[in-house]
Amino acid sequence: MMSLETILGLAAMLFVIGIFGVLTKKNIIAVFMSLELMFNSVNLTFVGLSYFVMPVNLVTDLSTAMTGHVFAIFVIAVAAAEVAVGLGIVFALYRVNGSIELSSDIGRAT
Amino acid sequence: MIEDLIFGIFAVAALASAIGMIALKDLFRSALCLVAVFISIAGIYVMLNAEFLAVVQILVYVGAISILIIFAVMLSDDVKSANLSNKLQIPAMLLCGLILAILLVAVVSTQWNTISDVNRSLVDTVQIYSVDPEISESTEDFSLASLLLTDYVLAFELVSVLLLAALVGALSLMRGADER
Repeated sequence: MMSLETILGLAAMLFVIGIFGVLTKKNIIAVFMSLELMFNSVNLTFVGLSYFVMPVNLVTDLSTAMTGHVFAIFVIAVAAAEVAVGLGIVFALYRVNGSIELSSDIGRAT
Repeated sequence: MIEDLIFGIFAVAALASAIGMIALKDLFRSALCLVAVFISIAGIYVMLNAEFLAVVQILVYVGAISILIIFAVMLSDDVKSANLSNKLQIPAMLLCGLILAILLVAVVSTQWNTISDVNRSLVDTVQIYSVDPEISESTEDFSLASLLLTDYVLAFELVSVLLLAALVGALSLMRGADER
């Protein structure tokens, strides 16, 4: 049951749920949470491919088996930076606007 | 057999928590569902030979990012019914179904060059021992740490600059326009 197809299918479903949340949520925090879910599903794809798919030069260079893990580490670092700046923007928006709702009447409170 | 069972539990938990995150109206519960997704994915990482990534996942996502998100959740006026959806739900659902179908067709129809049984134990050894400190002293160095500082050193340095820039950017955003 734990095969490449199930891992990639699980990651695809999590990614699509994330897209749905980004498109439909009214609250900017919920949009952020959906973004984090999408980052995680991409990481799951990297690690699953690294576990199941044969690296091209494995015999000459053993470290090619670690490529997926390295990519996942960089994705996690970029996600951390994104959350720091994004939540900074949320706090700035809250201070200017008094609300963090994403709707057409944004800015009415000022 | 037992591996399949544990993987199934983690996969179902991840999917159910993700759906709960989207569906629940209480934004705080939705954030807790997100934490459950993170923990389930960390469990799947352990089963995929990525113990180091599982620990990083717990530390960074469950430890830091979820705390930040829950802190920001408190900004909502009415947390109990803050997680509302806009009017685009049905078009978004159609679009998401289309994307999911494309992804699944791509996954199923691709001829994956999976690892043969001959190389399975070799790849397992490399991935499990990549965080062993004694590996970096052997002749065949495939440890994650030296890989980050040799082959991927440019990306590594760029990520450190990015983190510094994000830190400064977040601080200057928090200071506000009136104090500048």
